[in-house]
Amino acid sequence: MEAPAVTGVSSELRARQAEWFAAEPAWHKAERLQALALYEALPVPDRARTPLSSRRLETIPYLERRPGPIPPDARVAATVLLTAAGIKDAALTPAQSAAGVVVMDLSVALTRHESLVRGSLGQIENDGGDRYTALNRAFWQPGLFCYVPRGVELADPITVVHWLDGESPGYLPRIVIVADEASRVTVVETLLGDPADGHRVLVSEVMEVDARAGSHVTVAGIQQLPPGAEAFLRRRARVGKDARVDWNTGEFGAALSVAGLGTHLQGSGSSMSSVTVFYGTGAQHQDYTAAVVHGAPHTRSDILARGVMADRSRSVFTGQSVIEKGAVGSDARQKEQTLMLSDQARADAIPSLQIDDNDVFAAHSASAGPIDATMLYYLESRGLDPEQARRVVIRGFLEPILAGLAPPSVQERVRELVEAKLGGGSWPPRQSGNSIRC
Amino acid sequence: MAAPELVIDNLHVSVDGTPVLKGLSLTVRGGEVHAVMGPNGTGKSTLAQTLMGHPRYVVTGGRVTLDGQDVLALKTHQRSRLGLFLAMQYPYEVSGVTTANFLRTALNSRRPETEPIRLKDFRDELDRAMDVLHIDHSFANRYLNEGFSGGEKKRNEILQMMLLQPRIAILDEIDSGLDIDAVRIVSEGVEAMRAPELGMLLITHYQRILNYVTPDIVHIMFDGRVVRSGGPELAAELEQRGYEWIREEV
Repeated sequence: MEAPAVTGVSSELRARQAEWFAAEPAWHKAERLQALALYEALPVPDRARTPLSSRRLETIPYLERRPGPIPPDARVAATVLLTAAGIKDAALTPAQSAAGVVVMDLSVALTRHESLVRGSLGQIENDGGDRYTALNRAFWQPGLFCYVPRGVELADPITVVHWLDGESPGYLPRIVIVADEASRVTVVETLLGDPADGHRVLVSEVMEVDARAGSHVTVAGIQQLPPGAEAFLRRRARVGKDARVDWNTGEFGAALSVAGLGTHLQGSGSSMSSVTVFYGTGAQHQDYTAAVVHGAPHTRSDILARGVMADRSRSVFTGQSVIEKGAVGSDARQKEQTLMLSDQARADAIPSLQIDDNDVFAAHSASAGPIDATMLYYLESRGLDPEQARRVVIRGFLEPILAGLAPPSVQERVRELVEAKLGGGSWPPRQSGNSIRC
Repeated sequence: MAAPELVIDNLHVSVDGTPVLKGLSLTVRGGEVHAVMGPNGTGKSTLAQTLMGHPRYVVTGGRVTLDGQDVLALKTHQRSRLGLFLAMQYPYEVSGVTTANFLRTALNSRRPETEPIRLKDFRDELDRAMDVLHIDHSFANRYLNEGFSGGEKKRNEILQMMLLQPRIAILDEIDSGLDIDAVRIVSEGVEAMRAPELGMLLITHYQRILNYVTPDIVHIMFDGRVVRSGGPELAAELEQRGYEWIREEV
């Protein structure tokens, strides 16, 4: 029973959608169809400092289903494995199960947890205005639903591994996380694939986090997609009274990464932090946005990013902090620093503050510059050769922010990825044996 | 190993195209402490930075050898590994790198790759040197020089010298900006290192530190050259008469 109001949608895509998602409840099929209309109406996004049209994204047949093989070691150590074909595992610890935690296929949750899902899916990210976000809403697969009941504090993180199978031309995962009142949860998400896999794949991921009153949600995302990936990653949270969301992001892979974090501080006393470490090499293009809206009194946000740009890589970092009228006593901070290792690399930082109330604190700063030659000289005067000195400075530049990444396993993995990038030539690193750590 | 010998012979150096050192000659041997004194702008720091290989200082003539090896042909890190050390007037702050980690990296950089210093040995040496210099052990885990006071930075330079055990050490204005207690502590560190295997070149504007470190030879620099050398009594004479009489005599 499709919504009759939607017109102008290509019959071919409509038929494909109806076939793929035939088993879903009608309400969601209708929402997919509406998103399809939106997707078809919207052009390839136009981003000022990220020229998307020249990347010819539309030549990637991302709506074809061609799932490839999943290596057995991709399953290791994760709570759940997501691939273009769907969810492969959902192994909760006994403690997690006993506490009533839900980690399941979102397409099943559409029916089984309808009210929870309907309150969040497409509600936190409204999917409007962006072709590849609408694409996700219309065709998401796989989907993951996590629910942490009221008052439950999970000690172990829920680990999610996305495995790009090397064949699929598109990967469109959707994640919904609901942290009920006074709960505490850490979700670690890793996007990976075979580093030797150079085939072009369009990735559009959407994650929505509902952090209800008094909850504390930590989301860590490590992006080490294969070099042929063109990725759009959109993570959104709404944060209730006295709740807190901490984003921890490491951006290392993909040819293109357009990553957007958006946090709506809806409840008074709510807070967010965002720590991003990025490292561009080769011709990588990395475009990050960290946006926060202070919609209630006494809300706090702290956005930190540090990155290293080598070779011909390019980064754009946009920080947007909005303090709405009525959000008295709020505190918004942004700080972004980039170390340039090559005069062919480029970094743009666009911090912005929009403040519609008095009695608030807001600050931002952004800087980019090359390695200080006199600092290298100082280190070399102690016997470090120029390459050792360069590495010491780069590691030192990232260290203060690495030290703040949570949980510890993510910090360790990000350090390894930094080392791999520092080594030069060995990027992307091969996953060795059972080494998918999350 | 034989006692070290640093020979500076008729050194000419330009900074941004302007000649600063104009034929400076000086020899420092193991076991000796030389003081180089002189008014501001006479080229004392240029001498120090040139010996270490700072890229801004361009040698236009002369020779420098350490134990017969051509120092000027070497890169900065090679000079360090050969045994040269410069305690800098303005040490750099290196964020994100702890003093301990940095020093261990520096020590290992001059050892065979397969024989890194044992962590325990390193810690013991570090603790001992910190005690001599009255440095709180917690400084080992602080980022190198970041947020250190002027005196703490200078002590940290001497700490690095004690661990790296150079053959020739140049101390550039190590006493500037220090209160009298700090001068005494730094001087004790310098005196504790006096040995036949180490020659020291103490560059200073003021006579003050020479109350605590007794030089074997004092050189007076003026307009890019050593214009007079003598014993410790020369420093005392400077203290009494200032630099003006040198200017008149030259």
